Amino acid sequence: MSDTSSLDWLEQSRAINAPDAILDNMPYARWLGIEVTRDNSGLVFTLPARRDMIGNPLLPAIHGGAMGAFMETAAIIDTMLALRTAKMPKIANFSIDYLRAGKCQPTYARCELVREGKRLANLRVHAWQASEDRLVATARLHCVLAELDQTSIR
Amino acid sequence: MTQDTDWRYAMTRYVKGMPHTRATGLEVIKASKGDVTMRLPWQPWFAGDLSRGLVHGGVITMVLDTLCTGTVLCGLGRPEICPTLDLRIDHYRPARVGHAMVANAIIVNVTGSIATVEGTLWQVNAPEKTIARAVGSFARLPPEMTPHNFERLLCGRPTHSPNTESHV
Repeated sequence: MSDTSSLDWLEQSRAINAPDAILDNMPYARWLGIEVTRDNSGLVFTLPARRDMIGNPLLPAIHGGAMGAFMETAAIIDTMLALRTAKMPKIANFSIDYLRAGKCQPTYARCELVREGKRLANLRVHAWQASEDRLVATARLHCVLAELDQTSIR
Repeated sequence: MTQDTDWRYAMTRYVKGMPHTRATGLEVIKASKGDVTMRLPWQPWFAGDLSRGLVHGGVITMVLDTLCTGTVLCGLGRPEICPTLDLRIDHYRPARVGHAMVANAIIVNVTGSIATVEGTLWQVNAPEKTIARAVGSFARLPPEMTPHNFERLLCGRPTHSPNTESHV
């Protein structure tokens, strides 16, 4: 357990506009092997192709839960960096539409902050593999945006 | 399927047969037709927020996705390949690091084209506190989309029984 009693990691990542410190606080995202790069349109998240990402060994296809976890992580990190002021997004609900089976190859995701309110945010995430025109899944979610001073630290 | 189909055995084969769930240590506690309970023992890399000691929401998504899919597999007259159309998860409260998670799902409706499943997840230290709820829709495909040996792959032994499934 981290003995830090602050959310310095969030401020750090926002200051350098890079997700490194956020990912360091998020072991599951590290385990999934999520990588973050940037292109002209914003952040692009990558879920590497790995044997232990496979759900259906017959096809084989990426596990739907791993795909969901990847898109949820992308949304959280994107929100942390995109908000006008530093706040802690907490996912209230998350809904994923699976459009086609994800093959065992790298999966990419991009997020769109559709609405940033004072207390709530709405996001869309889309995921693709070979081509961004051919989506494998889309997701939408709502986040509660907690003020940092109201965020309980254990 | 016969009444005595060992769904717990079949569900255990299902979670152990998928590299991803095998890696996470997910296990089956109970399973009967269209009613499955799974347990995810705690592992440190499930954390999503070290500074606050919270479980990553994605872990919850993974468990509920696996559970709801499995519940469809053992909720129809005979197992079918049913791709997940969508899954919605409502997070009621954060899950705390250090505790196993348990989740139960039941199949709530079946039509000729869609099966609907609802799931609930909690942690072993506070079973009365729901952490998350899920609703999933699964597509029912034409019978020829399910391989002939699928039932045997899932259940691990041949079963011979009339198709007793009723369509809603």
